Amino acid sequence: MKSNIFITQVPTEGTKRLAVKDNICTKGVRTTAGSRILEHFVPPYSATAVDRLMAAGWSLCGKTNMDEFGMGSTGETSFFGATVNPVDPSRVAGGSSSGSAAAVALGLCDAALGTDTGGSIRQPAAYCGVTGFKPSYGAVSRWGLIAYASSLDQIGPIGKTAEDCYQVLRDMCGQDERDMTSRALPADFLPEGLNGEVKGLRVGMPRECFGGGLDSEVEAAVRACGAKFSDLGAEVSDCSMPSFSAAVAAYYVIACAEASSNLSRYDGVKYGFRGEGFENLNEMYVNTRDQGFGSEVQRRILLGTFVLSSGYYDAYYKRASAVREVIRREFARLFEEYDLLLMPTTPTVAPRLGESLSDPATMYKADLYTVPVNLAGLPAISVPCGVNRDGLPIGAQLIGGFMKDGLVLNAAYGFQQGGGAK
Amino acid sequence: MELTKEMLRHLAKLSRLDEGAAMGMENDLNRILEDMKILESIDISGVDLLTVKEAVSLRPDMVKPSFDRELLLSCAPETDGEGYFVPKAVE
Repeated sequence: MKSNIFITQVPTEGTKRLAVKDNICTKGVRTTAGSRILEHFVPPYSATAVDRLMAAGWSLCGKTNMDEFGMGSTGETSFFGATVNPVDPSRVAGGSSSGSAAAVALGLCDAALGTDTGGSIRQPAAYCGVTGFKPSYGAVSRWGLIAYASSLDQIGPIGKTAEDCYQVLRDMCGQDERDMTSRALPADFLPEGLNGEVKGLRVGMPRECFGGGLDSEVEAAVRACGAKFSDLGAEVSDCSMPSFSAAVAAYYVIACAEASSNLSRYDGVKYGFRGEGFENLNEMYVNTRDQGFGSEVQRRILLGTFVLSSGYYDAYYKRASAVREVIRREFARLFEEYDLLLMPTTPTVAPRLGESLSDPATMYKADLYTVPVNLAGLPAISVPCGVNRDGLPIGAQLIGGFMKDGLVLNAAYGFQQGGGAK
Repeated sequence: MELTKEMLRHLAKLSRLDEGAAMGMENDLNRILEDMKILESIDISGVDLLTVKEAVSLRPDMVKPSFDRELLLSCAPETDGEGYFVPKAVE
């Protein structure tokens, strides 16, 4: 079975090989976003993150496969075929940064870039047994990132370890005048180096994250991760996050609304695929988008258009935006009492290929641990914390306060240096 | 809230997507919307979405060279070297 990890491979002699998810523009190198509609698109410029990494000595080794436009949690919506799980090829690699996570797991690169809108770095990292970090919103420029949901998207690193992620983030983070959502970073954003010190850190484990629907082996592995942090000197305790249950609904309203707007630019006029069989301008638009987009993308555009439409905007988009603010405030209150939150990255191990796409409503619910983080713009990392009885990887997620990326990376480093997953 | 075929036809038109494909998604979309009812259970009193929380940082308002026209046009399906070709928009 084809692994479908790379969409475009780039020969390199460089020692710091970087695989880049194919929704991040690389000048002169095809960038498809996993879609037929950009199948032959060659960007005229590179993303700021790519420029900075190349200047820091990284070399591009390929563009990795992904769910189309970042819309998917399994890797199966790519126009170029699904990326299979490197541990068990009958299972998914996760998504949407499927190729990047698999490439790191198989040692095909030294690190990779992914993007995370609702978990798309952390979840495939968990399924593939590697480390994936989503930075605070605004820490990494989105200039040159093909947009899915602009208030949620972030570019981030995937590596074997937290140290690998730290090195990539250090080389690409920082304000960019071409992205007005990027921020000036605080002085304590990243330390000079990671020391792994976790003694005295207050770690909360929200009890709502350990309820029904969570696989028992995943729960056991994540609780063992909590116990490990205790052994290393952290103070680990239960906490509560009541609005957690509404995060998936709020996420999908907001993300789809933003996607419906962002993807309206794909009309066959200025770049990308132009459809066939049209007789007028409107037919050109419809044919281009019908033939160019896959079904998951079309579904999310329709949903997004609905929640923004007259008569429904208040009940859906405006309400979801208010719930988003409730979630953000809840996190802020928790971070007055805790330095980190610990929970599973995913409710199960990687599902089998073909199991998920026929029931999108159920597939969306599997994002329950990752989407709250994007809604609040927080930093979060998935670290391997064990395997199940079939040897399938399990990921634990550490979440930090806004702009506390260094603290999150350092804690993950401390866990991994202290023995990590057993 | 249930999406009807009429609504889906309208949404497809707004989105410039194929009507037939949209109507084929009726069941999936309605299941997803059913799951969104949980939003009504969250207390949002005290949330003011219209208040600006912090100013965005602006860059200096300076004229800089624009993008290379030829490079941009090279991405397009059909051009005349100056603009994009599309079917006639106005009869």
